[in-house]
Amino acid sequence: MEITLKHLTKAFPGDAKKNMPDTIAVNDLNIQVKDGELIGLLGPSGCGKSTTLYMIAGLKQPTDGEIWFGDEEVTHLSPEKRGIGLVFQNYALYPHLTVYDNVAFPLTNLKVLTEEKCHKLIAVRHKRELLSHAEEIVDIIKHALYKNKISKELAIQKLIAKFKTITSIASYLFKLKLHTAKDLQATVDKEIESLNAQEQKILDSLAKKNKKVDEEGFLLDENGQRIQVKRTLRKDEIDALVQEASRLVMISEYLARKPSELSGGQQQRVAIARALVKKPKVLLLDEPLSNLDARLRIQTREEIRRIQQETKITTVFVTHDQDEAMSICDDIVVMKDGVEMQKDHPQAMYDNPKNLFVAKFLGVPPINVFEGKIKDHKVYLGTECILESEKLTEDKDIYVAIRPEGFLPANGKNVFTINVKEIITQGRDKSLIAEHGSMTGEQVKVIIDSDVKVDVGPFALSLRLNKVFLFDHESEERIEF
Amino acid sequence: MESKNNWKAWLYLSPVLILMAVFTFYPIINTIGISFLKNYNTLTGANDGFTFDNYLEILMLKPSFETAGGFVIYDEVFLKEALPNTLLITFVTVPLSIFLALAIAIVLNSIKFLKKIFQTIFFMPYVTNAIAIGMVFSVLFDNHGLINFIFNSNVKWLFPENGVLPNYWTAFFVLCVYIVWHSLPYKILIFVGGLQNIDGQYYDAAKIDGASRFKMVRKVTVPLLSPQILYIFITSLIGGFKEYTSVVALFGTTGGQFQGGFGTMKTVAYYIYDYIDNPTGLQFAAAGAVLLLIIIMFFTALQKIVSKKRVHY
Amino acid sequence: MKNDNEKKYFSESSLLIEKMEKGTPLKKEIPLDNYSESNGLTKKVTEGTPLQSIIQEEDKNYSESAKFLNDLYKEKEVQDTKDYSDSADFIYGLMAEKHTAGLSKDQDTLPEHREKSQGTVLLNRKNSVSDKQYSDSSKFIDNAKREDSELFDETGTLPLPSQKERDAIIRERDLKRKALLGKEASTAQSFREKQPERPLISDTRGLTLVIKSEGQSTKTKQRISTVNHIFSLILSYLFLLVVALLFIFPFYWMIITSFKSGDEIRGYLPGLEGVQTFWPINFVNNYATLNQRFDFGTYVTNTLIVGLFSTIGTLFTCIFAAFAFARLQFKGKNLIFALLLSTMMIPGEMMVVTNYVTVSNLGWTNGTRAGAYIAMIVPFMVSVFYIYLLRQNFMQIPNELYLAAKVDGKSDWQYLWKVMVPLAMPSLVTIFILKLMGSWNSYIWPNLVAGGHDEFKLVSNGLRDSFQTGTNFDEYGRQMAAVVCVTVPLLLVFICFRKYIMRGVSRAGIKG
Repeated sequence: MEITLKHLTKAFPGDAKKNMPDTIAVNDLNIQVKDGELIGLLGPSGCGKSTTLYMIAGLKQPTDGEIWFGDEEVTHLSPEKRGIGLVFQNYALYPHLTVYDNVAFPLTNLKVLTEEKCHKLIAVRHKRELLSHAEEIVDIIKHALYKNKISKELAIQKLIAKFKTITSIASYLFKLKLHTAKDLQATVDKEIESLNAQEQKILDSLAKKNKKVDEEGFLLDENGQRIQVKRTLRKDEIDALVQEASRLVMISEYLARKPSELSGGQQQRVAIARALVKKPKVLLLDEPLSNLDARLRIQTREEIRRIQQETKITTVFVTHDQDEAMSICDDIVVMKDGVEMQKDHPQAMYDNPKNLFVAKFLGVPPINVFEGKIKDHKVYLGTECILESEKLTEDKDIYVAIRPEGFLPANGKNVFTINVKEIITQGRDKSLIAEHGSMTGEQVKVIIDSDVKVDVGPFALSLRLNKVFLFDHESEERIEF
Repeated sequence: MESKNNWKAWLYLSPVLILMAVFTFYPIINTIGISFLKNYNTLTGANDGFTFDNYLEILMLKPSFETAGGFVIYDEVFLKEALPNTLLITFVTVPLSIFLALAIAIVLNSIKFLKKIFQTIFFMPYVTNAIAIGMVFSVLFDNHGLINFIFNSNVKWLFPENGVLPNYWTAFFVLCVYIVWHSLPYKILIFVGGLQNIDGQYYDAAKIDGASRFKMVRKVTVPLLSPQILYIFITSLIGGFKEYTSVVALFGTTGGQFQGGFGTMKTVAYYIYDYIDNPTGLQFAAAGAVLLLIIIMFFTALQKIVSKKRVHY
Repeated sequence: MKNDNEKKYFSESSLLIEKMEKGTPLKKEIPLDNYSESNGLTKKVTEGTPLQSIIQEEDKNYSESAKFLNDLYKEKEVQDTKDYSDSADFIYGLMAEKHTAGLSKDQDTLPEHREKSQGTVLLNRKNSVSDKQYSDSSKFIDNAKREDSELFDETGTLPLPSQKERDAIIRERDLKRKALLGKEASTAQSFREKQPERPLISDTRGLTLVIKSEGQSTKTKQRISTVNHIFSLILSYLFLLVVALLFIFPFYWMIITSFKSGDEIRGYLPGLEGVQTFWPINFVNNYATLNQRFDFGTYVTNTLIVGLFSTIGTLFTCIFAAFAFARLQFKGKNLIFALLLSTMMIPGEMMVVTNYVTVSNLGWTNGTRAGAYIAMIVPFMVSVFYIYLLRQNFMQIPNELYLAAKVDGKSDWQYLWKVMVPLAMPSLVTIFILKLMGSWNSYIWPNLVAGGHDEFKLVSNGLRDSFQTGTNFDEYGRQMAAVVCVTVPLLLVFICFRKYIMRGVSRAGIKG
């Protein structure tokens, strides 16, 4: 499902009495998200990214502009009718429901469109098929121990995981008590016989009611076509969907717990499962990782990426952490004060920032910014000319931004001198903390290969020109050279 | 630091402690004590020694008066009038008022415009004098009053007319209406406060999950409000057992006389207060009070247990 | 190979594979953190680190593919590759000699292939279609297969293996692995058969979830929800309006009845027999004659005196106690506080019984006015509830102020009165109002201790005593007038101090 935002604007009216001006949280945003893409809205606090997300979700109304899902305009449609899944920053899991019920909750409000099956028949056949793996079943049950006693819940969980079945069937298998049967084969045979009889009964009753089924168990109408129905979900169907979603986010073991009994990362995953269980066309995440600790953050963002890849759902997620956005997004939209600063692939944005804000926002350690001048097609930092280009026609003041890794040992070309204050060796690289007359920040950070000999004091470096960016002083827009 | 402050702290606490010692702690013990004394004389403090009789007589396990010829009189008031009345009143008004208060609070919380005004109006019954308003109700439900007029009926709600006693159940109805009317404000206030504390995100999440309005109330609002609901439930139950002023307000100091039902509208508290005035009856009042205490303790303990199991924080 | 920048598009495993194939001796110090964990493991394996030492603990540090490889090397019985990632599947496929050469191009539509990683599918295709559908490693392999020279870096120093060479490398890898395993490729085969595919009963692919209103145009959906919204809004306001009227009505009736004549109240007006009027026809000033029946003045005086004194008394005891509990340290503080709180559960009736005796014994019920007053004031000069309330408020005042005052040499007493009390004024106002209202409305206790002198009683008592219930209609007018006199002051106080009252009362609920 593509998402298209056209001229999306959100303004909060000010208060004349309190002398508060109108706040424009989102200003004329035009973004297209392709189907199946994972796109990140990145920016500092207050830049409007969450507001944008909530407008896509339908929880906030835009002041102007349109939102399209595919070729349907959903701008004023209420949230439940948009077919989205939203993961809140604080998860918003219903505290009084178990994880299972939390994930199943959206399904209780939906109808399903499906080809009608004869459920009893399919269940019986499935049971019979599973019984052919009787030994495995016994093995699993016997290993489902909790404090050295066979635990029913654990056994059911493992059975579900192993055979990709549902709770009612797994429960049935457990209740057969195959693990305590004296003669396993005999018990199994007996049960299979009974199942066969059941199957026959079902087929007979179907025949009597003049209903036809195909070989897989789908009901057929008079023309031999499968019947399409629209109805509420059966308990088993809900179970199957919940189990599937839980498997996807790997919370199958926690289904019986309440949210308060889970850790932050686990709650996070439950929230994701709940959003995905209804197979939405769009998945929205509001700063999903900000409540997790550093290690968990990295793990979980990979999880999100993996899940998104597997399900191929168009995903929009909001973050202020550029590391996160860079590592998992297909595309990033950097926002500032409600305006889109740039939209691009992560690497492209890193290598080719459109404006100073984007250049400063991405990259750790942050980019070094200097005051510079263009004169006679040359760029000067202080008195040194660091580069020359025919394309620099206008003489003006500019910002020169150089990535920390954009420095090379002086090789005669594009030389520029800094005053090294501190040298930090980090094995593979050396970090230099330095100063320069035209620097705009507190220090200049340089990363060079550890083989280079450096001493404290003035030090000359050459520049990798692909790591140097020029920005107009006024507009902060990129100047090509 | 600790010891230095010690005497000062006690000084500050002294007024409270002294007053409470005399008027709270001592009475608790004393009342329990009196309840076990036989023939306690209020004026002189004389008594006939330890006995369980007071309790037994209240609970009609022992006659309160016995002649040599075997003629017995049981103290019927407590068991046959006070207790049933109280139980009936409590178990009718409490669920009803909680349900209404919940409905009103939820609707009130969902509107924006005029909310403050409604809140103020809904709180008015709380600040009124119980006796005063009770009188208004008795005027409204007078045999020739407004209610009979509106419904074109001739029901004798509260008072006898031409020697005919009013029906117990009509009077009971009026009493319940009055009690519910009077108790709604507090409940509504508490519920509204609780509702405001529910994080809006749960509603957002439920909206996205496609829940309808009613479903949201059932599955999100009520469960998240369960601490307040439980608190109100327990305090209402306890309050119900202590019901007294409302009866006086509607029926005067006699507790009313009726046909059918239990004959009068006296409650347990009524029973206790009746006996206080009686110079030879204080021990019964004490016993009644202790019984009341036990009932209340029971419900408080119940609250603790249920709170652990079903209330979600 | 593309230049450095593009490397970021390929997973680290590809980078490692690339290096391996470049012939970079892995034994050279290649920092591990550049590569995923599986490579970390692979590297260690090829470095010759004895497997046994890495195997046990560090399993969980590696991704599933690594675990899978690990298990392979451990010669563990590989049960179910579903526990491992898709790449494991793929590797198994490779091992089963279904390597690239063997897979025909037409087979990419087979359902089994959906279960293999994208890399396999890619290898099946002759031409890769859209890069996005394949994992990065696949892209790498894809690029590797292309013969476009522009994809090599400028120095052209990295000759990528051609398809043939690629096959050879893979085959060699296979052989190496098989040698390590000593297993038949057929293991892969039998394993494949055992694996259950998704049973129909839990196959959710056939379920299309629809919102209940699906199938309608957006406009209709919007219209319906707006209509719903408006409808429920109207209904809500109607409901609240009805309830509000029910709440207000008794007050309204009270006021208008106080202006009616007895006849009108009873419905004996000529021409309007049996009719109740909603607005007095004849205004009768019942208030003028009120004093005959209801000695308002006396009762009010009593009530105000008792009320003021007990309220002020309460305030003082409250302030002292709350201060002690909030700021001072002393032994047993928590215990005593808990004890006080627990008394709130005791029903007043328990205390009344004894207090009545006490008060009598103290001689306060001897029939003097002063005695009656004292009897009504003193027992109620303490309220645990208000102590609790005030203590909460005191505790919210930062402790730093207290310490600063100490440093300034101020005594506790000064601190209390100069700092805490002013800061806690809202709570104190609340307590004052609530307590005063409580005195105004009190009935039970004054009734008991007035010592037989009705003229000492308070307003509620006066009301009750002056008017007996009954069908004396002439009295109703005056009775209502009395009621109005009693009620209106309260309402006035409420309207003025609404915030304090409602806030104070609701705080009780939060404690619960």
